[in-house]
Amino acid sequence: MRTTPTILVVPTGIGCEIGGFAGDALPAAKLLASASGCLVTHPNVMNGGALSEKDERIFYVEGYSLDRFAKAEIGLKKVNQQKIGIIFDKNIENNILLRHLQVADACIATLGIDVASYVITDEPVGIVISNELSGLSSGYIKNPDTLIKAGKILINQGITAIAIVTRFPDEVDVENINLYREGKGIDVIAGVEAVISHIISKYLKVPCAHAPALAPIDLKVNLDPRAAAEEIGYTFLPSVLIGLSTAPDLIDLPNFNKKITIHPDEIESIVAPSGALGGEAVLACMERNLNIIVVKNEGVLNVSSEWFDYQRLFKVENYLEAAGLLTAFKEGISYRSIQRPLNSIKNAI
Amino acid sequence: MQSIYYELPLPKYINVKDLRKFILGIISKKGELIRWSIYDIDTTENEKILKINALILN
Repeated sequence: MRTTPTILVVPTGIGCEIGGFAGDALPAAKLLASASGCLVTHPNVMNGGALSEKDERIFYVEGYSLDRFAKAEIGLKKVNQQKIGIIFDKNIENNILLRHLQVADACIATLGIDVASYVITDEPVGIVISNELSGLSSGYIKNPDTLIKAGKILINQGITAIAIVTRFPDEVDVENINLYREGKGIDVIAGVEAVISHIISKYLKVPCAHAPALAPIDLKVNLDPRAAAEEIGYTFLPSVLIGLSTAPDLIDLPNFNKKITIHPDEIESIVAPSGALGGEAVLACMERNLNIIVVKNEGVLNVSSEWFDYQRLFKVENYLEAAGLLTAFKEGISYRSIQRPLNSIKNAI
Repeated sequence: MQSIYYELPLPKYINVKDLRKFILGIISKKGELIRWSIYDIDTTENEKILKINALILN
């Protein structure tokens, strides 16, 4: 079967119209996976709180590792099932911890996912949400060492993928959270979530993803449908466990011993929002002369194609058009043949 | 962990294919990079300025 292996990125915490909320880029990812036959994307695209989905054609790779894949530093190896361990932040209260443990049990009992064990960090992870960059979600953690130490304990017990659950402060920006729930703002905690999973990816090199632990919030009447997946249930852990359950192994390159399902050299295109071309994955794909498919999907950034003098850049209006372009690539149809006007070929000299 | 902001004038001669390595050559000197991106680009009369945010472990 023909494929055109493709990377899809919708950066976390930049308020994209599609993908800036709760797994609301998942339908677009499924469409692009269908068109390309093979899609590599990250948890922000796939995780819808309690909702997510498995798709044989989609490779679920955390953002830091996805950047490494785009830089051709790692390959991806498909697995039938990961053995998942969970890191819980010491700051999580007992009742919230119990809810998360019940989610893990439910995923074992109902979905057949192998969640093997958990560990609680020695110290609080220490979430700091920052608004230094107005309009962007950002922040850091005070105690990365406790996170890494907990992850090492799990790996030493044979865990092959790690879910991380950290306690986010209740006194975060309520006004912006309400705007987000109404579909008007950015996900204010998403930037720190990316930092947490990036640290595990960088230092432990296993598949991972993060779910925030939050105190229950009040029912909201005028909720935007794109944020609704986060209103179901008590935790955001189910989508993380579903994604990690079949996330590919990360194989450092060069490697001649392990079978690799997708080598980064097979990637032909990356799909990214129009204002978000300043991330490492997109820049690495430009470096490697791959197709950059730029989709009109507005967010708060404006690092757009006008700044880049790059030949293999394709601007499209939406993900439906991106899917058409990928189908043309996959089938070996020149996209120019379908556009009008169709100009005659030119003398090259 | 430290959040650092850079404003890098973009050399006129640079090819876009060399841009990532050009940026990394400057921002990776401060420590282990956890996350970075260009979050804005400004233009003055004569040059483009890349605005970069990097989160660094040192």
